[in-house]
Amino acid sequence: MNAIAGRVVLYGAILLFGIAGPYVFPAYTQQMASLWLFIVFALSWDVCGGQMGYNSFGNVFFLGLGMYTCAVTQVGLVYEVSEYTSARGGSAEFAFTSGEWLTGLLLGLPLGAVVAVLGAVVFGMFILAMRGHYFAICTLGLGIAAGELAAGWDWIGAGSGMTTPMSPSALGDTNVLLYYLAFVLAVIAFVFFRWLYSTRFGLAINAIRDGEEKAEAMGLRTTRDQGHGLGDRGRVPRRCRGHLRQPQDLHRPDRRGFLRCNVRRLDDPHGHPRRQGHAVGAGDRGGDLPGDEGAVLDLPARLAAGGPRAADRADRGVLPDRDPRVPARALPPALRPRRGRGGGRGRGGEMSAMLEVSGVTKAFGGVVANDDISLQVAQGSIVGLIGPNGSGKTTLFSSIVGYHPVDSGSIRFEGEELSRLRVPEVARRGLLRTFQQTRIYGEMTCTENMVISADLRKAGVLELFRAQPRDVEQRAGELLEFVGLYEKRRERAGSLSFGQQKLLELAMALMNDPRMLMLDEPTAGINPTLINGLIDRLTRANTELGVTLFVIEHNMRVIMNLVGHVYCLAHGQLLADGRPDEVKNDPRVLDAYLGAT
Amino acid sequence: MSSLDILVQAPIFNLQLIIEGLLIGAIFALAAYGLALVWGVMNIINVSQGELVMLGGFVAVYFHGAGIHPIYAVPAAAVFLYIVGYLLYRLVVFRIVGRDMFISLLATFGLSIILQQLMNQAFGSDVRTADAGMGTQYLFGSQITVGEIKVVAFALAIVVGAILAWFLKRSRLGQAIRATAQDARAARVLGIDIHRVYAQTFALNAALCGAAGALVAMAYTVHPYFGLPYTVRSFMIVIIAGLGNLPGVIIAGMLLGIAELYAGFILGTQFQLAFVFGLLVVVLVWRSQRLARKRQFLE
Repeated sequence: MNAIAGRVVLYGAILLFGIAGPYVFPAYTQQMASLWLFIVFALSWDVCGGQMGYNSFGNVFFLGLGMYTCAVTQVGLVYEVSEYTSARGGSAEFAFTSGEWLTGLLLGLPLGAVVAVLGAVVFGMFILAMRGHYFAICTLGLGIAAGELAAGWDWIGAGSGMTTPMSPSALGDTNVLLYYLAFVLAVIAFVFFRWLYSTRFGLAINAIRDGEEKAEAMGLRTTRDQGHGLGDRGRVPRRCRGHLRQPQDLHRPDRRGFLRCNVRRLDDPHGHPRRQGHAVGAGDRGGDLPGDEGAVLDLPARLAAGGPRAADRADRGVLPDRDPRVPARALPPALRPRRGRGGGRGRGGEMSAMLEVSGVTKAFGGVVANDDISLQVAQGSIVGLIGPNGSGKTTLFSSIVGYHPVDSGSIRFEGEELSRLRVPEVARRGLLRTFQQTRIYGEMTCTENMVISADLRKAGVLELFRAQPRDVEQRAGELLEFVGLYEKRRERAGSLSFGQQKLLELAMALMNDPRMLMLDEPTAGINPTLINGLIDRLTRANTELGVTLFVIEHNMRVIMNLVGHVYCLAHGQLLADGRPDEVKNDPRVLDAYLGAT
Repeated sequence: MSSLDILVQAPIFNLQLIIEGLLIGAIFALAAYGLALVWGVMNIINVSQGELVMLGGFVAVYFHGAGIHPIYAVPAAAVFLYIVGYLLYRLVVFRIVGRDMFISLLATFGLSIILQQLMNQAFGSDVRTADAGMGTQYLFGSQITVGEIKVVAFALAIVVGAILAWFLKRSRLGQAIRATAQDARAARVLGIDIHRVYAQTFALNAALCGAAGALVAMAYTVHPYFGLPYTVRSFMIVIIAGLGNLPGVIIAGMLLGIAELYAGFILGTQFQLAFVFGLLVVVLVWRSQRLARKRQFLE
């Protein structure tokens, strides 16, 4: 309550200052107008640099588009622009009537915004494929190139720039009028960005900043989302910029007017997840996963009592209040089959290969990481992949989901050739992977991590800009409960321990509703008690959600308990395959692991 | 376009542009070589590169004003800038080595603005030159004019570049620099004081820029705000040639010089800088499109 009251007071004071400003400090109207405009610049820089991780030196380009569009519109309504700009040097006076002036302003502002957005969209298509410092330098070049062009273009006044006409005295003080325009713009920009960051789009650009690779692996079309970011950036500042009239400073193109705006996150602009996790079992809030292991162990009991929330209520001695119209929920919705796929572990059952890898070879320089690998994963099965360190397991995973091209061979998923597709395209076909070293969006909360992972394969552009639907968050909560992280849902994902991050990554993958999930050492870093729970959950995900699993694992106990079929790699070659107990006792496999000849 | 017509009607002008472009291109390549050195060894893109060139230019202007022949300013500027570079490293740059590249962009960008404003205070914003008092050669029945000083500057640029290349290859410090570039951690483990190597690298780069700047001031002009275009040219050249590709840098530098002169001639000199920066955008877009076609995660 205090926080809300404080916020109300703060916003109220700012609004009051904004409205009363020109009357209280009439001598500083122009400076205060600049203040509001700089707030707009800061907000616009923040959406690109701070939220999206794209540091731009070239906002001045959009600024210039807006300024010149607005100035040309205002002048051009009454005069030939060239006539106006050439005569201005000779100090000819140009008078506008009030009507002309207002029309020019009202037309010039939106036009300036539109042109700036168009500029952002056009250039965004080309320059958003760049990353990091290349983007920064490219935008630097873009801004200066545009400035140099303007400085050489006589029609818009070349080096001396344009001055927008003063308002006729009938309209009152020009500075006050422009002050209020700037103020209103700042308010609009603030509200707009507040809204924007509450939508899925806002989450998506944060996700890209925190881990673009992960975002692609989860099927986000990163450049698409970022393209919108640049477009937005074009919009707001432009609208305002069109009419600040300090021609000596701002309309002159020959100064390097980079917007030195609020630069956030200096230490880590791409926000690579900073792992601040602690060792599994070490004490964060009284131990790793307090109570969660318990949640694993008595999960069936809890589920029987009507879902996790109900289980919580039951814990507190409150009976689940069931709606009589709804049948008792044996499983929370997260655990119900969602696509009507047949479950079943398929051990030797149906043998339709969902994933078919044939003859895949991948070499890095002289090192042949995968040599003529062929294997199959049947729909609905759980298949394991084992092998000593460096035997090419992760390389094979990366080849399948599109991190690098394969040298030869084919990879088919549900009959479709994958080997030429790129990472987000593969992910969007329902084939997801998790990483050996966890990849999560470290600066976002667990729930946000989950929500951004929701399957939006068929969602259009517009849906990006809707607020998060309730049921997504509901499902996120259920899946977090499923992996035992519900209590941590509001914590920064980067603050979780490594084992918890692995669980979160699993939950994120499930959130995406995959057809098939490729897990890279899901139990590494997870304590032995929790591993039992994890095996149970993976099995459930397979039987109840119908997710086909393909698992890299070193832990033999997990392999024995989880998978129905196992492939063993060694030195990049397929050494053996069969039932786990067969492979485990295969002398070649033992040799590979123990190093005998 | 009438200027295009001239090029078609009087092909000899093409030769004029090409020769001029080659001569200035060698100096571009010199600055680019320094940028590539710092980038490769320290993983820093030095945005103040052009300002170091500008400082070297003002050393030549100062010599000229003091009545000393500006040719002596070339080694003097190299020594002076070596000291400046060393100090800059000890004051600022060591803080950003190994940090995210965007920090280095911001920090060196800030350096460039400071240097540029300092020189503006010290020398004023006028365009200056250090007249070396050399004549002009007239070729092909005086259809082509080549300033002798430009040829001298070209030759000196090649000499300075060759000295540095030889130094990196043969000297003990050069080997340490190259080792650090390949793997700073391994170099440190094997007893190389990498901060010393970094300081020397940055100072050498500054010296290179200083020599280039003195040549520019003699053969062309210098003013406090001409730094950024030199940085951008260097960056572009390195992007096109690739890091650590010395012949590539020289060729790319000369091509850029020629392209720029053509653009200035055809579009008008007021658009020459717009062309440079526009070309930077085009080169970067070309690079990213080329990379994007591969099935790979982009760094």
